[in-house]
Amino acid sequence: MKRETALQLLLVGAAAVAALAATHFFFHWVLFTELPVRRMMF
Amino acid sequence: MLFLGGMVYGEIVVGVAAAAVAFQIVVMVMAGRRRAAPLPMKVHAAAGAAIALTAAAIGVSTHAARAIAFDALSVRGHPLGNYLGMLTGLVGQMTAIAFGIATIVLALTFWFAGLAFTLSKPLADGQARGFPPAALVGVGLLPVVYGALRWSRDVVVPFNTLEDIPEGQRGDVIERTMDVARAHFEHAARLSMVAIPVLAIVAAILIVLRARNAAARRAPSHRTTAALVAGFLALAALMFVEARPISSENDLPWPPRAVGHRLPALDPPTPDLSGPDQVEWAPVVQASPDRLGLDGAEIPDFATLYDRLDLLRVNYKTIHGGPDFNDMAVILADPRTPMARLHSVLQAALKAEYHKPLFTFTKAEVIQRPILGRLQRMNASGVRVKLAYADGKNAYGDAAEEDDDDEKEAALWKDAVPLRPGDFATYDPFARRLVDLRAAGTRVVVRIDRPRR
Repeated sequence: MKRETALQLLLVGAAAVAALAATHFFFHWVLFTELPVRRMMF
Repeated sequence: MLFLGGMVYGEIVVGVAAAAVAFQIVVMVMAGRRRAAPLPMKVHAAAGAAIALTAAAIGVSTHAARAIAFDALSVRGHPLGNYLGMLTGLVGQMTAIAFGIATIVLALTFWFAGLAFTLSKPLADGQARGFPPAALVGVGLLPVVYGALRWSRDVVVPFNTLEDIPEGQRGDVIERTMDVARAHFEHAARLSMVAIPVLAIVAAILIVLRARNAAARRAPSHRTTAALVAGFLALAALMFVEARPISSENDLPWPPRAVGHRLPALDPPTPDLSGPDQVEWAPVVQASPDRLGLDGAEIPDFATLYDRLDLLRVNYKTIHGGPDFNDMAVILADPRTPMARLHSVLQAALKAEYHKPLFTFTKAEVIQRPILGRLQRMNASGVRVKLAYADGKNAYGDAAEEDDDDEKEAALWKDAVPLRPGDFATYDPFARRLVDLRAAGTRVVVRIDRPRR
């Protein structure tokens, strides 16, 4: 496999890891909005 | 603080977002109309930075709104101030998130279009660069982004209709709304979590196929690619670290919501018991061996207690109309209180026409949260009794018992067991007896002596 192809594949892998991390972070960051309400209801 | 459309620093956020979108449009038009060499990549990088700046502005606005909501929780003063702070904080967050998603998606669309123009234009060697297949992975974020937009709408809409819902059911409605909205959002996030690896595999296949093709397009330099790989991995690490505390807070379930009305006063400490009856909105009478109180205010003597209770009932009936009055006084009493003293409290209550007081027991519940730390609440429950004069006569001294209940209510108390305060030395054994009787399904009538004139 050419070095260039390997690098491109590595880029796809890194982008996928970043996108998964972004999904995880974004989901929890948005959901955190409801925390004051949950706290209020405790 | 500036508010626009409910957003904190709204004017600044809208200004930054509008400038960023306008910048993308200008860059896109420039890239599309370029005849000779393609637009330098630096221009697209700058346009991308403008989008990142918008995201940062949204983040700052959301966090400021979040701080307002949390501040509202710590206010123990005016209940309306508390409520308004909570509402401002919630609306601020929801609006910023929804506005942010909409404008960032719009700006990114223009940014990609501009970039597509530039990448499709041939360079000096006659080859065009084309989009790196890795960009496909970004499409996998669409479900979670849509999920967040839908979540903010799902949560906000029922809040607007809360006025139409009876006060006692609002907590249930809010909780159910948040649970349903969260379930939808979780589903969207899971969809992204599946879509991203699938798209990555598709991108990898494309790369391998292109590598086999002799007329492959020009790829970015090794240095650029290596820098992108490092950047993505660093970004991923940062987001995982940042998500850890908030995800542990979000994922830890809350205990069931407290039932019944919240007490405005929590002292004195009561016997360590639980009763089956719920606290309703009612005056809170506090009694201990040396102090008397009503709704948290000190009361000098039993005559004053009667006066205040009587005034509260009259006021309540004036405001709400007669039939809704629940006959309840919440009694918070120290277990060491002599029964003779409590007897005087009950005399004041019955004279003021609180026929069905609730002997109330408070229990502290402590939980530990990952971010919020140690939280404590007082759970209140009680035993509701009926008060009657020991001579069997009503308040006016007539032979018939004081009973303006409807038939159903009267049947409930028909077989009630009578208890006399004089048979107990202090409140503690009396309270335990009450709980035992109620636990056995029995209702209790407390028979007290008629006050001397």
